[in-house]
Amino acid sequence: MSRFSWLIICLFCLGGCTGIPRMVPLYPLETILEKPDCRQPFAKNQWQFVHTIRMETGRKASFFSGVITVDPAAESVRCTLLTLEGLVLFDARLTRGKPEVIKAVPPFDRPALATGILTDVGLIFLSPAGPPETGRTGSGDIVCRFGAPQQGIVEVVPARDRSDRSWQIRKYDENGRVVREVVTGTSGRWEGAETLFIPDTFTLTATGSRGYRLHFRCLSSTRIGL
Amino acid sequence: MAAWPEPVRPGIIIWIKRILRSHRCHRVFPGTILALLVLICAGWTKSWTSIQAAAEKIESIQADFVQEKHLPFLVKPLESTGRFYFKRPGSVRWEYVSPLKSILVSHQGNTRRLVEENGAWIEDVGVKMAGMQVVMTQISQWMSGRFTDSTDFDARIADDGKVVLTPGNKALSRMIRRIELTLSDRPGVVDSVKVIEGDDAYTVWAFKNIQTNKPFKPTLFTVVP
Repeated sequence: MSRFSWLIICLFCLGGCTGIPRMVPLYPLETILEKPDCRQPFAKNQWQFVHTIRMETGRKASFFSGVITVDPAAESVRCTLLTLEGLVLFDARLTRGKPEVIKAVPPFDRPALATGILTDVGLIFLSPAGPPETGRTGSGDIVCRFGAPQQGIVEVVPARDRSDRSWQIRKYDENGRVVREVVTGTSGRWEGAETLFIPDTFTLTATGSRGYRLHFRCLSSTRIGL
Repeated sequence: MAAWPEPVRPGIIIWIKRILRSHRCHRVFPGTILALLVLICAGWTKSWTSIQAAAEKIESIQADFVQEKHLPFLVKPLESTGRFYFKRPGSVRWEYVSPLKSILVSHQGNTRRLVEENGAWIEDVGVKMAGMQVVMTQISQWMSGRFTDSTDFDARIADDGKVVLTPGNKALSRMIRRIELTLSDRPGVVDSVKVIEGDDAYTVWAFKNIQTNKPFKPTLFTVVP
């Protein structure tokens, strides 16, 4: 067999492995003196965001408009997905972890899908509960860890400084596998007396055999409830 | 059923008669002719037969449109703009220019949508979803004046001259409460479409710069970027 055939087989094997959740051991954090702003990626007031959303499953892509209404005081986020032509496909709310579907048309009327969408949106827009453990990872990131290893951990990597404003959120399952990862672009704007950075784009990656990617592009962001 | 509300139409006729009798007739002559034309053309919305007869004279339509989405909890309506093309018997090109560039083409039963991102055009499989298929099927029927052909909607002409479509089955009525089409003074032309999904939840497509029977590029419905 030629070396090229082996290369192709290896590439296929690697391709097959990309769907398996990445195992990132949660090493103890190195103690740091500075206190990062662990809530920095999350709105502290009521906001409404309008995005275009590209959903990728494998090589297929679907496009939607999305309206996200966040109310941090009520620990609530409302997610409305529309076709580009304006028809509402999905409208649901997550309040204190409890999902409530207001409207859902096929294929969004499956309860598991509705819960999955709301959980993803909640991960991006609502600050995790409880006090975080803060410190530095082996790769040098200053992170905030919420939750307990037995229940899964949410790790927030706040913006480092004014020059690198991007932030990240990683969600680990109880086995320490990354199951969700949110990564923002660096362009965007500061709001709320420069306490909230609203990125122009961000991507949520769901790992696993049924993995998908959601690419968000912000069209508008409006402070509400003033 | 009348195209104009009954209390309005006699009022206009009386007004035109008065103008014609007036010694200032020569000054307002162009306006009078226009008003008379409006009245004559308005007749096309009287019945399904007259609507279909008017629509049959239209081979193609192209227009700019503004799409406004209203939801009760939205801070401000979502606005999109684009250009619409239709050619008999059922070819549609629905092109958005903002906020997201996309082209939806429906031709010979095949519907595709491509969306532009960072200079590249990406095929959108979401267009195959139920809601969009319903809309695409309807548009060809509306543009051909065949409102009563739909198996999904019951059609009626309202007193104000609008065509009102109500879903004929439960599954569709979960998505759409009714659709209102405002017919233009120009025979065979639709001015706007309002899709009502619920209380204060609706989408309006308002057409402008409408041109009829203007030749298209033959590839408009087949070639996409």
